[in-house]
Amino acid sequence: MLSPAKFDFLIKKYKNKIFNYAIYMMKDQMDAEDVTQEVLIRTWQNIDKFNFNAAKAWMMRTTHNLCIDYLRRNNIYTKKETDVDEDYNESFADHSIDGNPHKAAELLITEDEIKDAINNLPERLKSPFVLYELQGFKYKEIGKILDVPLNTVKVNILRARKQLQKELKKYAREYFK
Amino acid sequence: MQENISNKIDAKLIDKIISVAYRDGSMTDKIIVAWKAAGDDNVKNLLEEYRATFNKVSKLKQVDLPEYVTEKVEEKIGFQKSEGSFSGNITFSFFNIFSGKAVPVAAAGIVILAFVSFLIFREPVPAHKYTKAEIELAEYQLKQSLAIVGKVFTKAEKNFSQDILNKQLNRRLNKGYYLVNNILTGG
Repeated sequence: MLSPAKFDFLIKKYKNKIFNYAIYMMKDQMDAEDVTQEVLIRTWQNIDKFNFNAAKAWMMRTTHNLCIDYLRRNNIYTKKETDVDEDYNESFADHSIDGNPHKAAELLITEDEIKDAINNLPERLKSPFVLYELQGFKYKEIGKILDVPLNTVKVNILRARKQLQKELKKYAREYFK
Repeated sequence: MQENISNKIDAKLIDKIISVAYRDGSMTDKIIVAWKAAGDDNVKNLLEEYRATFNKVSKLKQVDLPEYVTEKVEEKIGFQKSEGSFSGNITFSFFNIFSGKAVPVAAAGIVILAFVSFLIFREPVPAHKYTKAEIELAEYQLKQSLAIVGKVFTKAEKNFSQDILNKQLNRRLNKGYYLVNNILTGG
């Protein structure tokens, strides 16, 4: 009897989170709409089966899995292990610019450039980053959604932040102070 | 003259800088980074760059799911929407309360409120009113007790002055005087 009310509540509360996560994963709004639609239908089909308090994690996990399935089907998804610059620490540590470490580089970046930079992150870094920084999930929740250990979530978010900073350097315009 | 300083920042410090810039660093990390930044421009610049990125990321707007998507879903599953209705709003509020942290917080709030109300509004314990007879009896008993104590002290004083001082101590003193007198008079 409460199923329609539960479903109504879940749609209202989480539809935008699902949609926005799908946009970042699919990089295309139309595909993200399709994924979101599929998630909502599956939620209705399983409304009486899952624990209501765990619905949020269940829905996000379903979204993530559907995105990965879609990307794999279209040969878009690759693990991109080599995309992460493991020596990034060393290369970034020296940021004396033109021999003058006191010259500040002010980054003027637009919202679209930030979104592009996030979209260019490897999938295994982008997922936890988007869930944490943009969707507001906690580490533990992200671990459940992505089915990875807590430590892996923390490490990947840190790496995503570094990689994002490196990506944004391409858009950076310098001001001389 | 510009110095060409090669500033290698320790990898662990970079991690701390990033955590602090993204506002999930521990208090210790915040202190360490602040201290390092005060003494090293490279640390300060790095912190500012990451902070700028964090500020931009946190301000990214969410895109709303177009209405036609949810309408399509509701059509497919034959779902009747209750949006805008009074009962719909009530059920939404009900699930909103019971699906989040509001329930334990509200329960704790109720317990605390009940306890504070109890402390403020409880009836004070009425003071016992003594009768005149009870007061007089208490005074008599007090006097009796003091009299007994007084007798004990009086007896002790008598014993000390008459028996101990007079008999015991005086006897010894007299003997002492007698001996000294003998020595002095040569007898």
